[in-house]
Amino acid sequence: MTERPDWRDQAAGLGFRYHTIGGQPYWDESAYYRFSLDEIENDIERPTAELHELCKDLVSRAVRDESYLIRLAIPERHWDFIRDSWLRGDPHLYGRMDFAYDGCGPAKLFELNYDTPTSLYEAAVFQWVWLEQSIERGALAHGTDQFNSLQEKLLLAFGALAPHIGGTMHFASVRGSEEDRATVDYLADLAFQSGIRPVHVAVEDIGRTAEGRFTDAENRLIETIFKLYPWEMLFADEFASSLSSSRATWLEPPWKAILSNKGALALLWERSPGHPNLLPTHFDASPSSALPPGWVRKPLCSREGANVEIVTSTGERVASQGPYTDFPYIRQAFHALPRFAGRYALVGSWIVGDLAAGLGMREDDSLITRDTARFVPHIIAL
Amino acid sequence: MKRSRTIELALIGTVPLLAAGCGQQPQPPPLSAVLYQNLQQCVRDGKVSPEVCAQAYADAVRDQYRDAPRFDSLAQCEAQFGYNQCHPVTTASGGHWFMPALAGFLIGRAMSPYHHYYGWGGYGWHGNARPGGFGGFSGQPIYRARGDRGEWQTAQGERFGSGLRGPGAPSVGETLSRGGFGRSGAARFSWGG
Repeated sequence: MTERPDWRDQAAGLGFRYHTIGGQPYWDESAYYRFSLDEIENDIERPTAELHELCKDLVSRAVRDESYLIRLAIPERHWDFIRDSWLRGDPHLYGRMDFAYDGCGPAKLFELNYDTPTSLYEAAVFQWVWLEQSIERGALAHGTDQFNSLQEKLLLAFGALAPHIGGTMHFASVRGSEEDRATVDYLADLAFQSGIRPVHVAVEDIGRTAEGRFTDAENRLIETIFKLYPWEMLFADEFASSLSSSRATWLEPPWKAILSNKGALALLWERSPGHPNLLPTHFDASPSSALPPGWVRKPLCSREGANVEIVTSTGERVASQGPYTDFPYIRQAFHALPRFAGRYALVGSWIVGDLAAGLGMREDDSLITRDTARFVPHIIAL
Repeated sequence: MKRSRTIELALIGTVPLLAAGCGQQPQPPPLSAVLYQNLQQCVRDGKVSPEVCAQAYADAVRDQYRDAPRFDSLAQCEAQFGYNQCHPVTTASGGHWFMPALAGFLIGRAMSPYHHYYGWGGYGWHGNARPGGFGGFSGQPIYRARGDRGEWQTAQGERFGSGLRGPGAPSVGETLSRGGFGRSGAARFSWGG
């Protein structure tokens, strides 16, 4: 597939500033993935919606059963905060499931990114524009489609939130991460289009009042906040002691702490053993012992493929370094990512609200998909 | 169709005019705009760059004389814009009238005569967004509306509340300390997933 000659200029005009990371392409439109409508609807969309329901069932059980929270290594002092957020019905916005899917056989769930998923903007917007323009210039047939109603559904979600928000909503990301900032800026844009007034705050600039409320850099009280910063890190930070007094509405909500934890994969398997879209997964009882062939070891809390160790069925060992060494581990059955043109492909399937909303393909040279894995567009062929 | 029918961005960029499915007309989005009472408020808000704030404010200051309704008497003006909201204007050529005082400015996307929508130049100029020009965003003068509901109005008399469209008045708290979040993250590279 020929690239659009002006795609870099387009990216600049569309606010897509991290299309090249460390000199390497991140957005890659030299190729695209082609799905049939049947593959999308039966192999991706339906399993995504079904697994999402299992995830919510899991949360519903975990907030009522301390043995779940103990195994997830969630600090006991935050149990009530999490439980209350679930029982109160705190809304949630979005999440992403990562699948291995080769077009034959069921998609297998690798991970849940239910707390701080990124790569949203490129999936929702840039990929969409790529398809429209590729049809327009005749590179793709009229009627070619894409599994991508992300923006439409996000606007619905914000539209539902807007009446419950007192006009202003804070969007928090950490200093120094352009990609994170772009993700919250995109969500802030959608909030703005929904009649919400978005205000950005750096996570590091959040302040605390004598009453244990949180404020932004201008001392405005934080009432509703989207934070692109993981719950397990909020729990470990100094201000964690004020979370329950803050009276803030959090997105993603505190109950997402249960699903962003890789222990959720073990609990899903325990509750639905043999589910065609799940891989056998267990809490790792002996994390310091050598991993047998055919298994993958992951810390309960790690992101971007960090601290993952794989021993393939043939005994080949692949491991990634990382900072997430202070958590227990899970063992997940090894399942090879399909390889296309020498690259390993991972299907990111998005949930918005409770609806399956689209997908984004990532490609890496390694079996472990890292944060620099290329984003490659996809189509649904006629 | 499994994809969004149309996509608009309001703050971070400009989507080329496209709508999924050939032959369909794009649905114009609701005109979005934000009201600021002064330049400092706009800059502090940080939603658009200081340059965009300054340009929009300058537009509003310039256009208030062209756009604002003119009244022969103070009473007529105050009947529409409220007590203490009007001032006399005298020109060098001998003109004399009353007009409402500038109470703020509305910053937002402008609709061109061809009904093309453009985004904001929220993070610097780009694409078609040009200050004050055809197809760019614009700053529009805003006046108080008569009554006690904190309403605002444009020169054309379009009224809106101080709620969602305006900046409102977020509660302020006395911050005792900062920096209590972010430490755990600083020890790690990244956590987007």
